[in-house]
Amino acid sequence: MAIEASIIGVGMARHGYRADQGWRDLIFEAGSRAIADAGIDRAAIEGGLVSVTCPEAFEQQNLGPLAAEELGLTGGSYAQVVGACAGGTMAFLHGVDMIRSGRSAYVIVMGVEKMSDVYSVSDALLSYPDQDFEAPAGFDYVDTMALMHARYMQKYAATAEQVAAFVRQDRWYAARNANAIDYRRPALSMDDIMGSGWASRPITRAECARGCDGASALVLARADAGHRRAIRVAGVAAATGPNAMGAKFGAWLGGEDIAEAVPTALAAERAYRAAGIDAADVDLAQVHDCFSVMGALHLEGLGIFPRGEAARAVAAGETAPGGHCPTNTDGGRIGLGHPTGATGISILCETATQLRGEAGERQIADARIGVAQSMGGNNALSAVAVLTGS
Amino acid sequence: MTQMTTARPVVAGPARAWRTRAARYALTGSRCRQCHAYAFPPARRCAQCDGAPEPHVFSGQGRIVCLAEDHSPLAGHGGRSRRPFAMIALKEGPVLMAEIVDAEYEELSPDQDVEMVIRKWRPEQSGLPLYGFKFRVAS
Ligand SMILES: [Zn+2]
Repeated sequence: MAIEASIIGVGMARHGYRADQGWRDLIFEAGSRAIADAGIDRAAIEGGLVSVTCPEAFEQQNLGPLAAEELGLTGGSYAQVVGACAGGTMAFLHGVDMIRSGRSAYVIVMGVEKMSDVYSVSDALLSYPDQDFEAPAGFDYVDTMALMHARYMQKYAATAEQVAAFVRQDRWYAARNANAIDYRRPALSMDDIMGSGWASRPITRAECARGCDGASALVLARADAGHRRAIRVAGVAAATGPNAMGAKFGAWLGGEDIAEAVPTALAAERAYRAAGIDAADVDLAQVHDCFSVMGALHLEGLGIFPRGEAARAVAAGETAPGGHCPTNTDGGRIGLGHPTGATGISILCETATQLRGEAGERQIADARIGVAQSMGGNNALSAVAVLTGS
Repeated sequence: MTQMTTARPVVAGPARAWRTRAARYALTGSRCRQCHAYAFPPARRCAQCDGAPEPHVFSGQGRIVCLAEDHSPLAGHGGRSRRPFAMIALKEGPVLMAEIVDAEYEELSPDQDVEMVIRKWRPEQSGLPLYGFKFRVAS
């Protein structure tokens, strides 16, 4: 019988501006918590992966063995994984394969970022957009996504306020999450968001992810190991598409361009098939809202709302508790914070916490099937995981 | 006064800029020998028929698909505190992303005709500016 994988330990280091903590402190905090939460002897862990996107911030590469050393895990198989902002979920995907293949009984996957040490987050991440003709012309992520935002409104007749509603939803959940950069901060009004100034029009400053420090970790085990509070990995898949903006026009047969997240749709289809579910079965979702409009694109890629309808649905409350599909219940990239290398793991930490029923004041009632999605590059890579509780 | 910010890239030598010169200066892309499909940047293999492409210099004539306005220029991209930019569909078909010069955001709209010009991009590590394509409203 095929080996299945479960998440048995969840650990996070609070996301935010943590000037007093280095990357080793953050990964130790998250990793130790995940191991303690799993309730296993750390000597049982046979290997793992560490996701990071901007190790230049702390001028250290080869984080696999260094993180293992920090956590007292030396001797196993450890490496660094890069997949832009989807890197954490890619580390998870390969960690799951380490379990499923029978190679390892226990694996730890981690992500870390130290954004507060860089001069500018946009400049620090500039090796991820197209480096031949887009970044050298001065375009960073907020610019590429501003065009996606403009195109989405143009193609689907969504209003700026409908797209911005994602920010209010993120703040509501983040205010209830002690790990979030916006923990206990007051609710945002539409005037607060629309009046925050342009970052790259039509994206306002309030609609941008908060690049920050943070780390997160998961301990994975064979599902037949019989751990309490284990969360089953029902499906995980990833898909790619062109990274350069222009290359997305004409790349797909259905007339999709920059207003759709096609790799997310491809990855979701594979992950749902593996899990034996469809989009209507999903009880809660975490999506890659590095900017407000991307939340809408990925919710549509996941099939949770029809194409062109997600921004309107969010504005109508369909992603709030009690709505059609509560989304970004940890506060998302805008409210939780976006330590880019950790993000793809943080979304799985939140999904597992919800499915265990341990999310406290932001707990979604009767959550049984959760989906977590992260994006790397300009929809160049998307990774989707389906987790199920008991 | 000491310049405190460094424009990326921090590792690029002159050969790196030299390699992309044809596309940046002359909008040189490619055209499939078999099915005549165009590509920009140049394709290694035709996306439509898998055929072999040959270099093709585009006309520089195009149309705005959608527009945005940058209010947060990167280090090394001074000179314009806000600048419109767009997805531009070239007359021949391919779409690219570029700044619009000699006009403000409010004066532009989708479907407007534009033409290519050569302007300064970013300074290279040597201090020399890198030049490349931008667009302006068609004359
Ligand atoms: Zn061809």
